[in-house]
Amino acid sequence: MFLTRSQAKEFDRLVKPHLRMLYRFACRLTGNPDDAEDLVQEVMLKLYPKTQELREVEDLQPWLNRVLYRCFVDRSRREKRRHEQAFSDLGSDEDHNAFLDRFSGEGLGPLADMENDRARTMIHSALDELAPDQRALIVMYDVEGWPQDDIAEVLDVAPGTIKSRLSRCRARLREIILAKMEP
Amino acid sequence: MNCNQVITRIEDYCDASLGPEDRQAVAQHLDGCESCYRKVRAERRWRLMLAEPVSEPDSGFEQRMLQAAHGGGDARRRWTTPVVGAAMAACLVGGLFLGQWLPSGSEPSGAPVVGPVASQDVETVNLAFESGKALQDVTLTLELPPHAELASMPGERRISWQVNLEKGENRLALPLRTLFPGEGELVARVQHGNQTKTFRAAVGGTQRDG
Ligand SMILES: [Zn+2]
Repeated sequence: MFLTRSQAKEFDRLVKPHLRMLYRFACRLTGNPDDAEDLVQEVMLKLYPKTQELREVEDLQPWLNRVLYRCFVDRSRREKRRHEQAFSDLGSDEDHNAFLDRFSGEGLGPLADMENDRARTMIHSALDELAPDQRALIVMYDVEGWPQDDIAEVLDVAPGTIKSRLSRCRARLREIILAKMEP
Repeated sequence: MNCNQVITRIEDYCDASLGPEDRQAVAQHLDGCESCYRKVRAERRWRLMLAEPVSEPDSGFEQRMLQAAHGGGDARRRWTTPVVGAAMAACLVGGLFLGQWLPSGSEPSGAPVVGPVASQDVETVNLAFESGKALQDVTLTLELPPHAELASMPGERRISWQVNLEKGENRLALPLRTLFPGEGELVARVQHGNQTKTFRAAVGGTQRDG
């Protein structure tokens, strides 16, 4: 909370190299640049008083990602933009199969080969409807391709649970997309 | 491997997380089964669509973020608005005179710099003051009104720090989150040895810099 000038400089030195990476993650999570910058700024406000603590962190990148993720979840909760939805435990293989048939893009049905732009828009609006933790997981694994250990650190869960969580999130996402595809 | 067995493995196949034997079996099946091959392509297609290019922030981004941390609040709004004075007047704390809190000339003195600016629901009050010499083990205690909390310490009403003051400028940044509209008083106590100074400042609720 209380920083001397040299501590303030230390803060800059520690954090600056990671700012663009944080912005990128924030963009993925929030879905737009303005919210992303607000989110990174919130993280800065939160961390500034903790410069001492920052200095002791061995690998800052995942640590910072975790702080940003927490801020994102808190913010989503406060804004109540995303309401928690109960979803079927594990999407069944039949569901997955039905989804793939409708999404194949090779003329299996009237909606199957919708043009890419429309499909993309639909997917991103579906992603926005996911609960924040689910969205974050999809972003980290499917979009950014982070290692499972890094993802586990951000989410504060055991690395061994990532794949099953991911499966559930994807199933939920497909469920939302399918609902959007219904005529 | 039949079609059903392949379908249960499509996700892992696309994640490249199948064991070598399963992977080979799926690949072999795909060679001869147009329907399953199409499903694999569909799986890849929708995953690819998740990843849109992300815009890069402009060149001033880093500076803005660090400035926000130091100065408190929203650096973007901070310097671009012509009504900074009005914005400050509308902000949380009118001024905590941390300067001049110790009597002797060799002790910290000088005018505070108060730069509170609104950012979402977190409003940061930034205090800076000059200290005539370095001081060890100064205790700083803050008491917050019920409707506000420190963004970094949610739920804490009373916070104390042991701090050392450098000779020259020292800064205190308080990211305050307004929990609900209200008025109240922020109390800051600064203690060094047997000397204590108490400062009080009104903390308003909801006014924002549009
Ligand atoms: Zn097949």
